[in-house]
Amino acid sequence: MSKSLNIALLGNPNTGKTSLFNSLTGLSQKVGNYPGITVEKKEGICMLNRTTKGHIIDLPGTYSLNASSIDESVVIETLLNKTGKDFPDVSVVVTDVENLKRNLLLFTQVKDLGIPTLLVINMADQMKRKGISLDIPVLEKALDTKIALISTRDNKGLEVFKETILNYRKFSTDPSISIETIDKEYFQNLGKAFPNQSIYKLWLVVTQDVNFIKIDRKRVSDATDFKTVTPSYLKRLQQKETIKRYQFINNVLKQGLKVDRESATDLRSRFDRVLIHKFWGYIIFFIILATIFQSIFDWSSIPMDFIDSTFANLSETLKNKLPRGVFTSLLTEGIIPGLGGIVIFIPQIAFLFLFISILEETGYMSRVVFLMDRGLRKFGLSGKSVIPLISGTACAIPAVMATRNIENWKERLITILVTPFTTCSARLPVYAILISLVIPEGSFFGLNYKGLMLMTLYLIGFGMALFAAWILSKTLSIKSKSYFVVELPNYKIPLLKNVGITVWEKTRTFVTEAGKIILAISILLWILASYGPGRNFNEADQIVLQNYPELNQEEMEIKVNSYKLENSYIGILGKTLEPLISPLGYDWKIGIALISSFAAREVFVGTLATIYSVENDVEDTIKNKMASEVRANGEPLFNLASGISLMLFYAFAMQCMSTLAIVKKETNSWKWPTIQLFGMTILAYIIAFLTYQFLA
Amino acid sequence: MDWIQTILVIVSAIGALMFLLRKFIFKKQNSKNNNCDEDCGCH
Repeated sequence: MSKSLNIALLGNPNTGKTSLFNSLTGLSQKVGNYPGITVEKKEGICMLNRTTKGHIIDLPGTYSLNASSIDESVVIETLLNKTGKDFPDVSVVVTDVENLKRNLLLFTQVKDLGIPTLLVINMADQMKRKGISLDIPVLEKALDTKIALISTRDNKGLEVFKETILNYRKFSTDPSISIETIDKEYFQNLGKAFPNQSIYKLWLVVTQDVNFIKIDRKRVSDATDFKTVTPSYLKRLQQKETIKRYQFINNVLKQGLKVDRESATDLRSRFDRVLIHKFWGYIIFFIILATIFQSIFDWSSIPMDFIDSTFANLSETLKNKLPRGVFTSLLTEGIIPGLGGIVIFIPQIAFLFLFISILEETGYMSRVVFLMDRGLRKFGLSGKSVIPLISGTACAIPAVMATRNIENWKERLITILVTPFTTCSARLPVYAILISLVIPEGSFFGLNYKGLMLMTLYLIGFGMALFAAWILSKTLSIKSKSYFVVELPNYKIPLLKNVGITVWEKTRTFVTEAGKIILAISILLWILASYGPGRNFNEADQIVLQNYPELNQEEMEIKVNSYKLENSYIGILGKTLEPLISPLGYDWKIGIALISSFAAREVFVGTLATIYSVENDVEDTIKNKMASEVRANGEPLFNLASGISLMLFYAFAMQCMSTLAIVKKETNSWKWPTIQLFGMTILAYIIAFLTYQFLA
Repeated sequence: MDWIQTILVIVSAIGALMFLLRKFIFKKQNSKNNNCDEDCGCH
C-alpha cells in the first residue's frame, strides 16, 4: 500500500515555484478554488518513489507570512490549520538563486512554525553567468535545514529533491530566530495566556487576525495577565521581527554565498558593472541628471510660455469684455493669474515625473539609490532621499511628494524637512535680478563672478540640506529602525501605460491639492493689496495729484497705484514689518515683496515691479529702478551687502506656502510645516542679518 | 452693477478664508482607532 505525503510549495513570486510544480506533477494536476474565495488552488500528485506519492499543493506566491492580501492569507491558513486536509507534512520553500536574501525571509518564517521545511534553490543554471557561488554544506548548517539545488529550466536536481524530501522526518524543526527576544514581556504574557501553543503560531494569529487554532480560554488560568497592545505596537513588533530575520539571513549569506560581479557574463551584470561602479556610476548618474534638468527646462519653456501667454490673454480679454468693477479686477488680477501660477508649473512637473518614472521603470533608479545610500546615510538620510533632493531643484512640491517611497519614517521626515533648502526654479528669478544688480563684472579663473555666485547659491542650498539633515538625525527622537533592502531588478523597457499613469496621477494631485490652496491665497492676497484703511488709501488720487502735479496721465496712474499699494493692508503690513527687516538691509517695499512672495517666491520680482511702478516685463526698467533706489542717507538700497543678504534669505527661508501645504499633507500634521516655517525663517533671518552686518 | 461685483468679491473672500480655515485649522480629525501612528506608512 502506498503512503501519501502532503507537500506545500511556497515561495516569493517569480521564483519558479509553479515550474517546479509542473515538473513534478506533469499532467496529474487539479485546478480549483480555495473554499469561499476566488483564489486559485493548484494541487497535483507526484510519485516520490515506488511506494510514496506526494500530494503537492502549489500555494500562492508570497513575500512573507505577514499577509496583506487574500491570496497571501491562504498560505497562512494552510500552514496554521493543523486539522485541515491540506496541512503539509513537509513544506518546500522555493527560492531564486539571484534573490536569495529576500527569498530567505519567507523560509525562516515557515521553518519557525515547526513544520519540516526543505529549502529549494532554483535557477542553478544561472549561477555561473551571474558569478554566484554557493557553499551548500555551510548554508545547510547555518540555516539548519536541507537544501536542494535545482534548475527547473533544465530539469536538473529533481531526483535529488525527491530523495531529500522522503527523509523529511530528519529535518530540523528548530526555529531560526527566537521570537521571544523581540519583546520578552509581551511574548511571555502571550505564552502564559495561551499555554501549550507555539508562540510563533500565536504571534501570526495575533498579528493577522487569522484565528484558525481553537483555543479554549476557559482553560487558561492566568489569561488576565495577558495585556493586549495597540495594533501600531504590533506593527512595530513585526518590523523588529523582520529586521531580526534579515540580520540572521545576512550572517548566513556571509558564510555561504559569494557573488563575483567581475566574472559574471550576463547583460544585466555587464550594465551593473558600469552603472553602479564606484566612480563611473556617479559620473553616469550626474550626466543623466544634467541631461534631465536641461531637458526639463528646455522642453518646458515652450508649453510654459504658451500657458503664461494664454492666461495673460484670458485676463486681458475678460478685463475688456466684462463690466468694470471689483470682481472683474479680482478675476483678472487675482484669480486668473493665481490659476496661471499653478497651471504654468504643469509642464515642469509632468516632465520631471516622466523622467523619474522612466528611470524607475527601466530599473535604473534602484541602482541610483544603491549608489547614494552610503553617502547620504552619514547625514541621516536614505539612498532614496536622493530623488527628492534632486527633484527639489525644479520644485519642492513634487520633491516632497517623491519622498513617499522612503519606508523609514524618520528618514522620510528628515528628507521632507530639508528638501526645501535645495534651490528650486522659483528662486531663479530672484537670484538672477539680484546678482545682476549687486555682483560686479569680472572673472575668476575664466569663470565670471555672476555665474560663480549662482553656482555657489545652488551649492549652499544643497550643503544646508545635508547639514540640516545631520542636525535633525541627531535631535529627532523618533525611533525608527532602518534596514536597507534594495532589490536590483532586471533592466527592462518601460511600459508606456505605467509611465503615463504615473505622470497623470502626480500632475493631477499637484493641480487639485496644491492648486486649491494657491487659488485661495491669491484671492486673499489680492484683497489685502487692493484695499486699505483711511484717507491715504481712499483719496490716493487727490493726494498724488496734489503732491505731483507735474506728472502726465500715465505717470500719474502708476504713481497712484504705487501710493495705494503702500497704503493698502499689505502695504501697512510691510511698513509694520520694516523695523524687523531693516537690520537685514531691507526697506518696507522689500518687506511687501517678502510677504507676497510667500505665495510663490517668483512673485518677489513682480511685486517689486508693481511697487516701483513699472511694467514687470521690462526687466531693464525694473533693474534700473531697483539700482536707483536709495536709502534716507543717499546710499543705494541694493548694494553688495543687502543683495547678498537678500539672496541668502531666499536661499534658506521657507518662502513657499504651497510647499508648506504639501508638507502638511504628506506628514498629516501641522507640527512639521510649522517647525519648518519657523526653523528655516529664523535661520534665514540670522544668516541674512550676520551677512548684512558683516558686509555693510 | 457695482453691488453685485462687491458681493461676488465678498463671497470669494469668505470662500477662500473658509477653505483655508477648514483645510488647515478646523480639519476633521482622524479616528483614533485608525491603527495608525508614525510608522504605519499611511502619511
